[in-house]
Amino acid sequence: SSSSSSLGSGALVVNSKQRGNPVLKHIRNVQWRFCDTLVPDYCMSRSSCAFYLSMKYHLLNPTYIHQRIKELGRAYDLRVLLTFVDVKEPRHCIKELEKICIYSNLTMILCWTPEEVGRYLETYKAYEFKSADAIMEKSTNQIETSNKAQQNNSDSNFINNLTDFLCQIKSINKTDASTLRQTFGSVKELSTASKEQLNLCPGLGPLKCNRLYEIFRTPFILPKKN
Amino acid sequence: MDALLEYENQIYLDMFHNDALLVMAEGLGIERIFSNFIKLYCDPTNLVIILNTHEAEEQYFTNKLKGDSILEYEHLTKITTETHSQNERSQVYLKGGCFFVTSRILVVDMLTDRIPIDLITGILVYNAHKIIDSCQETFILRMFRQKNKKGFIKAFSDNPIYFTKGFSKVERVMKNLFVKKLFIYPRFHIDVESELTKHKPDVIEIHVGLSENSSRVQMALMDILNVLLQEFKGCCSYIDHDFLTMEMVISRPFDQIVKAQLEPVWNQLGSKPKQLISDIRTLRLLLYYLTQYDSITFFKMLNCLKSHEKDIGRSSGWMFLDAANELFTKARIRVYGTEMRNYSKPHPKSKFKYSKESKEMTNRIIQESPKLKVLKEILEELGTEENTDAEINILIVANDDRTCSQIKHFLRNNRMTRKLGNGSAKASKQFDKYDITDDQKPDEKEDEFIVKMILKPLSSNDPNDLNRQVDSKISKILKQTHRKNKEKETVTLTQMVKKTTSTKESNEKQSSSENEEENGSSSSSSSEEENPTENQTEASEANKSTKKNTNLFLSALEGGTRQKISLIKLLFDTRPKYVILYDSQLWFVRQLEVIQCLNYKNPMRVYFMIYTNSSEEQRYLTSIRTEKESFEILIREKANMIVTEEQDGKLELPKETEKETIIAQANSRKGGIAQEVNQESEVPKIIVDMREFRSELPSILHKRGFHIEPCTLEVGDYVLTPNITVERKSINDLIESLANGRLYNQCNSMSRSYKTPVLLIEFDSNKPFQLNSYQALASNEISTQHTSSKLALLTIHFPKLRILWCSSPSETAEIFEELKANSPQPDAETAMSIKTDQVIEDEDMKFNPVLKDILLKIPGIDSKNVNRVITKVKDLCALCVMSEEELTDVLENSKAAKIVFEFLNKSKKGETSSLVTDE
Repeated sequence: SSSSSSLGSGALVVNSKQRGNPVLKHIRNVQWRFCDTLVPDYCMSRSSCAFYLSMKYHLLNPTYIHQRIKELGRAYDLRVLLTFVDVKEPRHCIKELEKICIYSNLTMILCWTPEEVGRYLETYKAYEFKSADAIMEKSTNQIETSNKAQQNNSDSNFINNLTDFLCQIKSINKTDASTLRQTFGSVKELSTASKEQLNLCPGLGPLKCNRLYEIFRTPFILPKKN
Repeated sequence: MDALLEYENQIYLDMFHNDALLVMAEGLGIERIFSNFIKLYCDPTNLVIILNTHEAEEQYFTNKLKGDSILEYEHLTKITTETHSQNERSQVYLKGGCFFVTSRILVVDMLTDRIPIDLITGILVYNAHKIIDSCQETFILRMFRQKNKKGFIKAFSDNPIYFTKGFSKVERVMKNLFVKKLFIYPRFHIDVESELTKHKPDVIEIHVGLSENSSRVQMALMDILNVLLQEFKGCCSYIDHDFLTMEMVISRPFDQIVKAQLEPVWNQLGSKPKQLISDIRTLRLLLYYLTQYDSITFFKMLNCLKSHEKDIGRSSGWMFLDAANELFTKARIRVYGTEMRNYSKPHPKSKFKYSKESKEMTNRIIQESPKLKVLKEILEELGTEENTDAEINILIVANDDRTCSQIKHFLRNNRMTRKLGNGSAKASKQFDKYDITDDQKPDEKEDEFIVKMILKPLSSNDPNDLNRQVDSKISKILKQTHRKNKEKETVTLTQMVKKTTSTKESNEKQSSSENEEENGSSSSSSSEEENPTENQTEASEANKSTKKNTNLFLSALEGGTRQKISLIKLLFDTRPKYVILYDSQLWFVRQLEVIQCLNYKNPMRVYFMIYTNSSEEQRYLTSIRTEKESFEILIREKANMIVTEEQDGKLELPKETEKETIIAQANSRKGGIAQEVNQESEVPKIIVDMREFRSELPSILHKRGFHIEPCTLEVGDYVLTPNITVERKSINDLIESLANGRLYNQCNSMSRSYKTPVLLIEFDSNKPFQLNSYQALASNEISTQHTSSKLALLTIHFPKLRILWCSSPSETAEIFEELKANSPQPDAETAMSIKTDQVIEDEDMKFNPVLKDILLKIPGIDSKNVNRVITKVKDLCALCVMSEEELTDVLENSKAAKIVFEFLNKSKKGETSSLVTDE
């Protein structure tokens, strides 16, 4: 593509027109440099680029973004539209931009602060070659290694894990989890506790107790349809 | 079934002749009127749908109709996915009668024409106040009205307060219900008033004073709350300050009000206001504990808080206020007495140490609960009273289960002391410290909400008396016990429904004797052993002389719909002569008035207990006031309400009204070009996945005039055009499915089969429209932990994926409409034929998704092996008791099994636990 010449170094390439954009202040984790010949506003990798659009600006100059997209043509696979939500009632505007995005193959990302815009740009640059492992189902090996790491300081981790586990049950909060741990100690003890025993924990109302009691006794598999 | 009272009859007729919304005061017997309607329509010539009932309510109505033998109750059917398959349902509907149907099933059945909408006689909506929140009912009613202009819609609600929250809510609810009329029946309605004052129960109000220490504690709590409240007002300008009065803070619905007001701005709040709110909640709870439970429980709660503070240390610092100091000291005095010496706690496990230190124990002046004292006096008074009836039922109600079990223990101990001789001062000390740990294992049955106590069993010579017992099972137990221990006076604590009979009974006896050992000083237990014969004779004498049977029922007021229904049932079944309101709630007091009117030949006496000058009293008064005010608002709104002629939807308007108005609007801009109307003549179609009917979106899409086609889709949730498919994710779903890899798979299959895969991020309209929390941005690192980073990564891997950001479902509907404009309609057959290559998706539906998520939180269990656990283990309890070897078998991985086993069995008790198990 036409912009490939401006690539090369590992830095995030920024269109010179972006000079003075407060977003640039927040790009700290990756290198970036200006370039005069860049078509989009930002170029994160060979195949991905981004436009920056402030909603306020868009409302004043509705044709601006169309012009920019036209200039870009069909270049780049991933074309991100970083939309800065800086108006009070963005809904109508968002809808319009979403339509533009779908028809011109842009991926819309909404940001509410300049920091957020900066963070997205950083992320796109930093993840240029990153595999999708982080968002894919984890294999057992990975879990095991992460568990091993966790076991190093086991006590506090156990408490964290237990709190996580208990908080997953609806309406149980961290304080309840702490109370339950202090009262029963282990999951096993908790599983055998009667409703009345649960009821004795300070702060646990009858509803929470019932839910907790029932959750240990609900079959994993839903009853079969006849 | 009892006959209806005059005013109830009036309401019944009002509702019968009109399609209307009825708003009644809570406790005036809405369930009686509703069940009369069910009775009326329970007939094969009708097809009546009953919406919005709770499971317990369905049970109650069914049983009530079954009780009336004349009725053909087989025409009352409950339909769930379990009871009837899809194809069966259409047959079942045609048989006629009344149907309890879950809304999700009904929506699908209506969309697929499994239910003949034009044949439906009418729809009864219970709990009508919920209709605004849950969109499905609205959807159902709209579809019903579109195709059926004759059928009735009658809606019932007993929650006036709900209708006054928010802007002209009644009007909106009525529009959704397609009713024109509103009937309001508050307690102060003239008909209700005149009817209920005719036969008033004999009420004895007992104002119990708080002890000095308790009122000091209360003062301290109020002081702290006031400080926190002022501070909160200072740092939070979003919330309506009118609500922030002390009166509101101690009233019941404070939490809901704060939640409703703060939720939209929750993420803009700093940590301080959040902390203040959570502290105010804690203190409110303390205030409740103060009057509700004994001093030891209260003190324990305080200690727990203290240790939390030590552990986590994140409170807003109220513990450093002067008032807090007062609070801690006085709370301590309430348990240990004024002497503030360094008292060494007895080890909780050893009972013997306890008796050794019994001397010290007597010095420990535990403040007894004044209400319990009064309760004892009342019961004693009732015991001496002359009664002609053979059977007397006494009902005691208290706020929650815990208070109930406290009363239960108190009564048990109380009985013991009486047996030991009234004069014994030492023994009467016994019930100053009722034990808090209940050693009685409750039944795992659902129906064990009501504890029944039979104070004096009948003599075994008289079997007729036994048969008079309400529950034959109980009498069986009694017979058995009689054979075992002749004539011995026993307190039989039994549940209304029970399977274990004699074994349970012996357990009971054991536990009570254990209790004696635990509690009793050596002298009392020895006296018990010395003269058992004496006791026997005494008891039998008592039986012979009075020959009466006193049944004592104990029930909690709070505990959701189920508890409420079972309490009403208990009240109507037993018709107690005496009711003791240990705690009171408005609806129950009214229920008592109603039952007295129905049963006016047998006067009822009500003991009403309340602490004077306490937060409890204030709470009760506030609840009366808010209800009255909301009725006044409702009446005013009714007067000013604009009801349009076609609001009932019965007018034969041309179909797809709404769609046409939209088009008309669009055309007027362009000068009303006719050709566009022709283009739109084809009804736009959207294919929706079955599972999506839990959400609001399908209803809104239908409202906008789309034809909805329910299908089981493997790829995507909505298919808009042959090219566009949409996967809808709420924020929580998004975070979760990004973490567990589900979204990656979904995007993968979507982009494989469709040209334009779309991810719809749907925000909650009540919550802030923003993805990132400030915490994520506060850290300087780019981390895959953050949702936004994951989202970025997702778009890197799926450049074709489009993202829609919608702050509400109605907005989504708008954008769908625009995306569909001028595009060909999707085809259901093709959409269904598109499959994911993995079958996991389908299997998922068999699992309980909630439990699966909980399982995934256990270290060592992951998305790969969780299915093994689900298929091989029954429930969490079963998992907890497994050995490491068994776990290895299940997980097929010894390492993972070890981790799981260690997690489940590792114990890390806190220091405070010693206090909790303390007797």
